[in-house]
Amino acid sequence: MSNTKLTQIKEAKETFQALMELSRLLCTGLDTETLSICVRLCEAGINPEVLATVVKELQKEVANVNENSVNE
Amino acid sequence: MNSSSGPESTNQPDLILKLCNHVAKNKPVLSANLCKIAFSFLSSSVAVAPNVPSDEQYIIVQIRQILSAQSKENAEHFELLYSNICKTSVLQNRCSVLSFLLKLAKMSQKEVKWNTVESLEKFPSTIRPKSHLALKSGNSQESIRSIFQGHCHNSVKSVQSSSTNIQSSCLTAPSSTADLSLITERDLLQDIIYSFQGIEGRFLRKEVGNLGFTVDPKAGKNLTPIQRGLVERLTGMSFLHNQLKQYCDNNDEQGGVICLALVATLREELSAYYKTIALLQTALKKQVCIDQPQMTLRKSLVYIHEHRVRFEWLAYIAEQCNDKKGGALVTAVHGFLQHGSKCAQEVSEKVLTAVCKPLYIMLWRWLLDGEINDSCNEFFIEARDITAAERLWHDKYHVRKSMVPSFITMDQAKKILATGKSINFLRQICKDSGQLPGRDALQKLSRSTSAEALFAPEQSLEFDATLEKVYRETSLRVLDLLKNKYRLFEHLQSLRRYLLLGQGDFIRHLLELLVPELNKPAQEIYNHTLSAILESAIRVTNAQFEDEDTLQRLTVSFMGHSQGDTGWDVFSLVYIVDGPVGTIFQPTMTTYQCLFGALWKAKRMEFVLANMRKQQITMAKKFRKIKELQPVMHIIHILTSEMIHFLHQTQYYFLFEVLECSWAEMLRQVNHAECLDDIIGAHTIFLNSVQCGVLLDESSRQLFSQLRSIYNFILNLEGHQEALNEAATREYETYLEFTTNVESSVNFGITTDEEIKAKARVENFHQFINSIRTKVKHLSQTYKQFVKKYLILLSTSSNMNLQLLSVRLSFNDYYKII
Repeated sequence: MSNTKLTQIKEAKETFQALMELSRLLCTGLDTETLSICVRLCEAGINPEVLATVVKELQKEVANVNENSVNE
Repeated sequence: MNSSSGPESTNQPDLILKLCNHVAKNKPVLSANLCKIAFSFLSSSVAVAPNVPSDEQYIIVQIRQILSAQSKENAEHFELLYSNICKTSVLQNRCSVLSFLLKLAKMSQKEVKWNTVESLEKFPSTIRPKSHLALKSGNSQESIRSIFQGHCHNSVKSVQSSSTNIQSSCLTAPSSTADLSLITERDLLQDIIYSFQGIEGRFLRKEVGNLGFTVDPKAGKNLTPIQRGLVERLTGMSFLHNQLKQYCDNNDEQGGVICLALVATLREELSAYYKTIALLQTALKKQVCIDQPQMTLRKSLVYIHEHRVRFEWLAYIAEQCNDKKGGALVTAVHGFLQHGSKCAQEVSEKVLTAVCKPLYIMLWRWLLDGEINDSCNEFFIEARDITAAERLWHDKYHVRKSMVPSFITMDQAKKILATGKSINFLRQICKDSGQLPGRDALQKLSRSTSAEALFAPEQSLEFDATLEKVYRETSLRVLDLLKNKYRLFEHLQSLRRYLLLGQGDFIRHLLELLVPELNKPAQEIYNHTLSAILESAIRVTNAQFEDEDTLQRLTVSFMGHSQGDTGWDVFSLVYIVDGPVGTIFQPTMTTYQCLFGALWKAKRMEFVLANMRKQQITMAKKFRKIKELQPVMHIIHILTSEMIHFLHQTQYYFLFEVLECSWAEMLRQVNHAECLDDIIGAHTIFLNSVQCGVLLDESSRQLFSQLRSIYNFILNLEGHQEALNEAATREYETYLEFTTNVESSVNFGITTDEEIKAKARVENFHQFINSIRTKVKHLSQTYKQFVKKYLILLSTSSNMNLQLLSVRLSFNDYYKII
């Protein structure tokens, strides 16, 4: 039983690695944590396109804030 | 997945919160702000775009495109990664994840390429940081909300200035991508819409044969397999369209009305189809941006699906109808009506209704007015040219078998033919232009029913009933007219009386009067003498009480004669029939002539034999003293008796067993006749049976020739008896003269010279008698042989009546034929 769970975890890790690589290839600019959350959101059935827009939006917002703070 | 992130929460809000926290790098103020933005997006966008195409293949292809645009290694790397991802069962929503990544990639790509055209277009709040739209948190949220509620970016005025700018860049974008090895779906769709109308486009080329389309090989390389498959399915439609159009164009000019009706239906379908194409085109034009296309290949496939199915059947029907016209075409279409496919039934019913319309109009015109307006020979009844008016009924109208539609049975077709023919018969032959009974009701009916009545199962019953009614009424009218106005029965009676020798006294008297005339050679007989004889015969006998009209129709005629013919061979009585009844009798006149010939001959033999018997009696009395005459007279006597027996039996058979029986049968049938054809049929059957009875038919040719030679024996015997009679009379007279001379002689007796002369004369006479005797003996023997042969033929005949006749002729087995 624990054996199957182990293989499952291993499999999950591998898959995530692949997804991470793919993300890198596609120049999405996501870090591991963000991707992980997003994948889980997708698994939860969120609309992927909207999610993509949201992520982009958040990144920009953060960038804006940072810029502003630097300027200040 | 990140296993370090503690207990995994699966509900979306928690995850979003987590995401925001992570992105904000744990700055609580920023994090809250981000959360607001994220939730507002998610809550509004669910309503805006609930459904995203989730075709994994499509996403993969797009990813591939992006990566291969970057570098080859990346693309290969992707294939490896993708296969890895596919292997595991951990990801339940693989497609969704991939779609997310793709979208993200696209957005970052566009950011680079077109100044974030996409995001600007959709979400104006994401205009580059430098824009004057300040990013005060509350303000930006409001603007986002307003945008989503209005479904439109125009609501924010501040964006407009930049958006024009954006649009222009957007419009140029597709063409630039097309030039880069990528064919956008929009371009492809435009091409396909062209091909739907039979026009070549940029990527689609016409195939050999000018019907189908194929993808240009150069452009084909850049199509994804899915696109290619879709394009192939769509071009199938173009093929069907071209096929139908070709059929329409080919058959537009030639062919008759029914063919034109088919073409018109096809064109109607085509124009409905063009409407759909126009809709497609407008939908394509409306969509400005490529990212969320309103019109895709898939959608267009759905759009035209209905037409496609219809077109498939139409093309099939058109193919079946090729080279066919008129009724044959209708039959071809009718074949599809029984098809199991609902669509095929619908389509074929529509087409059938259309093609039946002209047929239906033609049919009613024919049924009501007997008119044929059929320049292209499409109707299943044809009118031919005829030479004589009498032949109208028989020759003018025919059923054209190849043109009878499959839903009209041959029986119905014949009734239809008879109805129209009857109308024409009434109009043209009987000159009866009056309104036929019940026509008004029929006309109303013809207007109220439609062409479907021909083939729809329930209505066709009604049609059949109507047809039956029309047929019956028209036929009755014809019969009524023939029986009452044109005295059909009287004509039949007259023919029976005069041509088939029913009026005995008249025939007998005529024969008696005609004998001296007809014994002459044929060329010495003149029509007027015979006519005069006929007149006198009529005047003396009961025929004088006959109708004036009938008597005027009765004349004599000569058949063509050759050398050596006597009057007997060429004489014939004729009964002239004209007008409507001529339709029945005219074609049978030659048969009547033959029958008259046969009966007349038998009658003559009877007459001859009766005269012979009379002569024999006088001779027996007169020449009682000439003992030498008696043996030969004895032979002649016996032979004559035989002949009389033979002839009486034969005549009895002819007149009673054949003529009377057939006549009674015909009268019965004529009385029950429902239409003119029934009468004609009954009359023909009557004539045939009589012809067969008097041995004039094909199978009893041998019998008839045998009978003729037997008749000739009778005539020969008559000749011999005549000769004998003459010689005996001469001998008797000279003998009387001789004896009176001897008695009154002053010289008491005769001179030796006279005696020698008398002896020589007697000797001569005896010789003559002897020669006649041998001749008659010989004749008697051969006669017997002939009769025997005749009887054998009769008894071996398949006709029961003839076998019985043979028994009757040799009743006491006199001839010993077996």
